[in-house]
Amino acid sequence: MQLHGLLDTLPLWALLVATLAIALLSFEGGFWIGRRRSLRSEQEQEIVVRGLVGGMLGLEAFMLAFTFGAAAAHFDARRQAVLDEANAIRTAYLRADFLPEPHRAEIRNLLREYVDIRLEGVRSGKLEQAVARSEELHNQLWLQATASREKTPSPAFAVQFIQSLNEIFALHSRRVIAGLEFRIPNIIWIVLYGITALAAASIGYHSGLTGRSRPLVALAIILAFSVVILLIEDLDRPLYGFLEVSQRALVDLQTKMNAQIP
Amino acid sequence: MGVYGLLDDFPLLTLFITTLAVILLSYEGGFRAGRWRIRQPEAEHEVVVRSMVGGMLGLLTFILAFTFWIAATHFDAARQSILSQANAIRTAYLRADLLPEPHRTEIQNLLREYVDIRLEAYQSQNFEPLFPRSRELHKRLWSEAVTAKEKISSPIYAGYFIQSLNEVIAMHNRQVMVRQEFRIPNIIWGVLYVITPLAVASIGCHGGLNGRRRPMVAVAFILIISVVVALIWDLDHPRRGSLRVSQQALIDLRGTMNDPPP
Repeated sequence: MQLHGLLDTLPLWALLVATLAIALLSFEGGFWIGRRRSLRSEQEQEIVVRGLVGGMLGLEAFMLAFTFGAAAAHFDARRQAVLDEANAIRTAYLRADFLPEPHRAEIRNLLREYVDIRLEGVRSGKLEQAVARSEELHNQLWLQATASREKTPSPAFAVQFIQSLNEIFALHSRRVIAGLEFRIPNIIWIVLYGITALAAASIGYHSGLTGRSRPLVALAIILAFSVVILLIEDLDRPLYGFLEVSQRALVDLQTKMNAQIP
Repeated sequence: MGVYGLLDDFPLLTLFITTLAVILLSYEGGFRAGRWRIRQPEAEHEVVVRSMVGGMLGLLTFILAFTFWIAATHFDAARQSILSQANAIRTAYLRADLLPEPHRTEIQNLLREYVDIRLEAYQSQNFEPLFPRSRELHKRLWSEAVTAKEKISSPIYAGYFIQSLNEVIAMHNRQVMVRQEFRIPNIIWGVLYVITPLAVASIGCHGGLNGRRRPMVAVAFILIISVVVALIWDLDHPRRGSLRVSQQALIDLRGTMNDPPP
């Protein structure tokens, strides 16, 4: 958890600078070692190093690409969770029409508050509070639903409402899990940074072994790796960065609820 | 700048030509940088650059492949949303038979109009009026259902119809979301347009260090990359370009909804 916390608090540009710095320093370190090795009498064969560097870079590309795929899938899951939740709340809101007063009005007020709280939680970033308050509202909604069931003339409609309410509860858990726990695990971040540093060091070493100047292309490849790491981190952040998961479905619902449109 | 829509204003052909031009220029830039390097007293060794170029291309192809996959899932979601919509409407249309007259006829007319406005929007490629008109129809369908419920002898049937009506509304909202949100985010496009020129410039630089431009191979490669980028754009815009989502499910559905007797 701590590493996520650390990565999430850094602004994205700082993260990019930090990644570039780590990669460039590793390159320099590798280059320096390579220079020293090349001055020795018994040199290792360059051709062996060449093959190893190729493998190293291939591994790095694989790791980055698969982590990118995983982060993109998490991002999609979060987006899907918001959409499904908005649909479930809308259904319950409409079906409240079938319950007797005063429960109908009370349930609608609770659902309106529910949407407000979720949007507010995302806006302010105080997720824990929003989750706690949402669960209180679940209890109140459930109490209203069971109380109205006693009074309703036709139980079939009460059952339909209860069904949609259960759907809201289930989607709440899914959204919390998708938001807070569908993250790239710490160990993968550590491995990713470790491999990036080693790959940069090995191209540095290879350069140092064969010449005295640093290749231009090394800068390009280090930049490309760092940019992809930045992208992964941005896709993986639940709330901040360029990629805030849009809450448009819920905002839409909020407007319609306030205007009493189905 | 929002999360999506960075490249929306480009038609497919413009996008393709711009991408091609950007990549060709970066190849040429890389080539010149390589030629300049080789004239320096201590240039880097060609062999070092070769393995770096390999790593760079590995990264580029993987990122392109994953982005392609994301775009393909979005295209699928757009297709799926048409299909689920057609199914939901068909179910509601059939279940309207369970309701008493005159609500049955009224609801079936409304559903017919609901399909018509969708097909019309698709034919004229003008989707702006579709969403407010759909919402209007949702409202009228819902009030018909609520009135029908009061009159019906057995609420189970009304319950079935209402369930399917909720599904119709939910599928509409899903379609709106798929249209607005199931897109490749701007940051992914940004990263693609950073690493693609970097990778191609590295190939150019390698050529420059060798003193060979190799125009045929380079142009073929550059062409393929540009085609893949254009294809990703095309998949990501299911209503524009050459790949479009078919409305056949809705057309078939309209065929099965009999027009009312005159």
